[in-house]
Amino acid sequence: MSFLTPLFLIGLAALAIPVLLHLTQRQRREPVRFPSLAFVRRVPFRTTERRRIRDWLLFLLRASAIALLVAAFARPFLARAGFGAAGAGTAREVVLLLDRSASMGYGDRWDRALEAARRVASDLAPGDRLTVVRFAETPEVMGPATGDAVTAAAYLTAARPDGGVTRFGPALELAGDLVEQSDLPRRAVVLVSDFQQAGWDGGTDIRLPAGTVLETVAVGGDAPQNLAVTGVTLQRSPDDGGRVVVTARVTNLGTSDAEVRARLGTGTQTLHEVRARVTARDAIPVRFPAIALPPSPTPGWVRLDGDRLGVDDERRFVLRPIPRIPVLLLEPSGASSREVVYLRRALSIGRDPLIESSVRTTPSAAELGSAAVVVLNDAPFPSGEAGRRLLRFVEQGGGILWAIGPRAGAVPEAVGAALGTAARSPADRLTDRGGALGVADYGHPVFAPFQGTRGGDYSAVRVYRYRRLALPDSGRVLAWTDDGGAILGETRYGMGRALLWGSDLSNVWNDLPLRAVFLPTVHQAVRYLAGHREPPASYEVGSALHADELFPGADGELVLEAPDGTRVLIPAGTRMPLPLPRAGFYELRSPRGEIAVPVAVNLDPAESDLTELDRDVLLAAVAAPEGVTTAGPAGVLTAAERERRQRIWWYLALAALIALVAESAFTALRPKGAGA
Amino acid sequence: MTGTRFLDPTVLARIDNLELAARTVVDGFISGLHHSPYLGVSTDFAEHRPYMPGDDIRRVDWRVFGRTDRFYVKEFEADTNANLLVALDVSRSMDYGSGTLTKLDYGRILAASLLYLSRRQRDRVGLVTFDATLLDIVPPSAKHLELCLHTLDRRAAGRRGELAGPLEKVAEISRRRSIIVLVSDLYDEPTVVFRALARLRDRGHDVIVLHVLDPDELEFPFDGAAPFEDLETGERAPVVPAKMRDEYRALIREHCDTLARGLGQRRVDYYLAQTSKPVDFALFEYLTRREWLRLAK
Repeated sequence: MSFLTPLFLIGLAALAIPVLLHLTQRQRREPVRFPSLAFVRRVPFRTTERRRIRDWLLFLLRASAIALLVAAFARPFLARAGFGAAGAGTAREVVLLLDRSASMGYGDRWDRALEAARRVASDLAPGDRLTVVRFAETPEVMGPATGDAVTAAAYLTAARPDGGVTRFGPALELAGDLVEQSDLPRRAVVLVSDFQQAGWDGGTDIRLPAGTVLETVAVGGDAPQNLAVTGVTLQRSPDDGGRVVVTARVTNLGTSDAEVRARLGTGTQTLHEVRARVTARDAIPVRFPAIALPPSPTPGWVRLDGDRLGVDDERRFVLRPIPRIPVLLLEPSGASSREVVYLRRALSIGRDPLIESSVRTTPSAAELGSAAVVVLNDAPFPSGEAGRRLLRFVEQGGGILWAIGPRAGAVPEAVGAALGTAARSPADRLTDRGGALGVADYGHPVFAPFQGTRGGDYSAVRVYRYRRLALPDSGRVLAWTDDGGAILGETRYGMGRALLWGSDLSNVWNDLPLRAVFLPTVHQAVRYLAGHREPPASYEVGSALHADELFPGADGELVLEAPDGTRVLIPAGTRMPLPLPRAGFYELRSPRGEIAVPVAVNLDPAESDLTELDRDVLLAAVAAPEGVTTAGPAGVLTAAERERRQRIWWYLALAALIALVAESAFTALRPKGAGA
Repeated sequence: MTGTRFLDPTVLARIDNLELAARTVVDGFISGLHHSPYLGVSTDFAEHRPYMPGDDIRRVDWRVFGRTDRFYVKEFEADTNANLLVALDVSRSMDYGSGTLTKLDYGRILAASLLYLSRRQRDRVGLVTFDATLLDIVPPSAKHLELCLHTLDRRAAGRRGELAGPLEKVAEISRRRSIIVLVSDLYDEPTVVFRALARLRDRGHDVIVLHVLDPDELEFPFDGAAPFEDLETGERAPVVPAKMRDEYRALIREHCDTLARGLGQRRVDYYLAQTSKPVDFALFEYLTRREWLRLAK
């Protein structure tokens, strides 16, 4: 039993009135003046007389009338829906969407959410069905729909907030599907959440079925104060044996300024500590002193002192040594330094990854064995055994960049069949002051960094001479000149790949080496050919882990151990993406632990922003104009609605009236002399 | 008493003039408090009047004749057998009445009636009022009726009352043998009353006690618990009348019986006058009883 206006219950104190009336029956306030109390005092005084209620029936009538009236004004209602729902006479399909995103761990939000959810479960009337769906970025049905409040409560007990990000769209979509499939006449979706603004992108086209009642239970409502580490950048340098500067982005998502203490550490060791002040709704970079790079992947972190939402007070990452790409640079004999300087300098500038190039005219087998990429800078493709070895190098996964310039000579037939050929006679564009270069596919890894309007401008490159490329079926053209000739092409051969550039890299047949895009293009090409893909320093909760990123080429069994100790066995030959549902450090390793790498998983920074969504926006978006209704934030029925349906107050008022009438009649009929 | 109509106290209460009230009360009474011998001998000079034929020549005042050369005879106050002194208790407790008359009003009319009646018998009448001390003293005299009535009329209820002290004073000032009528509610221990009255009786006074009580004091008819306040002391006490009524009645009855019995043994007349009864009825009843007792002696 609950009350809509419980303050009226204070009126129960009025029950003391009839009690006092009865106990002090006819006791006058004004004293009776009597000539002398000499004889009165001689009579033993009995105080029990005043405490005795003489007329129980009258007393009970009066007391019950007052109690009933007070209870009626307090507007009672039964918490269980069965009482009021019986009048409606229809069963409902209720889908309870319980937000378990990381932000629900703020303060007591989760407790309040569970309380509201349990209230929904306890409100089930006979014939109702409840489906409990917990959600963060993805919804998860906790079990089959049940009409048993105990079972529903068990579902709720199993629910826990996790480090996920709020996404209302998928949850509402699932709820819509569930209620649409229901054969029950009434449908309701109860959304229990803190209603983070970040959880609703507004673009989701979701419409709940007509007639569905969407109710929202907000458990936020307070003015949250939250400090979070929303990002970490690692700036590595090979100096001093490899060092890294960690810069953390500390964001104050609260409404007042805050002093923060940020600590940088690896493993269990704190390395540096920085204090800073962050103004409200602002973010600052916190730069830590450089630390030495570890020789192997090592977990690192930046932590703030804990606040009410602790899951975003730490940002994890993995420190890795600077990767190295061995490049074998083949140059034609007799080439001048002016011809080779551009490419040599470009390769030497690379710091992350570090490109280690060695210049040769003819590669030996050992040199090919240790190289990841072979660059032929206008050098002829080696003939004989060296040429075959180079082809095998490509076939076995190596990469080759061949700039076919004026000194490259003719392409051997075997090479041409495998990698593609270039025209013997170059196309001369000197007459029209050089042709323009056009990139065919900016989505290619080589050109991907140059996407966008402010990316590299290849159209400024002037090509004076080039050899038109003719690629095999496995090849594709990556760049054209403005006369339609293919100047850059890619060919896959075996497990390796080759990039053919139908010109030189010496600022003779084209001015690409003079352009700003030259250096990054060369680096991208080397990375691409080397198959270099450094795993990210950290992942975000909800993203997928590709084991190949961490163990390229590994084909044995792997084990992924989650922060809570659970392990996932990844069978050999299976490289399905693995979900990362929790924040913390995972470990990917071989079954025997010969190799192991940490995987840092962090909360999506968007989840740290506890700004509340205007629920009207959400309700307006998902409510179809043809009949989705919305209700207030307190269970399937609001207290006011439940009280209005049950109308218990009416019965209480009627009972009070009857009691008063009976009291009047009793008083009128009783003897005059009797104490009243 | 068939055919006798007594005055309703409510009617009596409307008579502002105490003399008129007293006359109304005693009108028709034949006998008074005592028998007067009417000896016609007096030593109290009253006035001179011119000689008239038939006057006893011995009553001519020759000294006046010597000075004025005219005959004047001396008139004297008629002599009586007794003085009547009414001692009226005007303590605070007398200022109580459940009806139209308080005990003080009742006692006042009763006293006035006795004074008037006695004066009609040519007695000397006097009055004392008292609470804890003597408040008014009107010595008995044949000419003090009006003064007594006036004193009665103006006297309001006083303070806390006491019998012993005032009655001792009365004994001191009443040197001549007198009829002393005590009008009081007698809220004192019977032994105190006995001792105080015995002193008067021992000096040869004829003492009459009119015990004036309101019906409330006898019946205690109150209903409902209430604090009761003592009129004299101001003390309050929670009282549940219904619970203690019987015991109270028994106590007050015992008190009255004790007084009647004890005073009777001391040859003091005692009469319980309830204010609910007409004053003339009370007076008639008492005088009839007194007459019967005198005849019985």
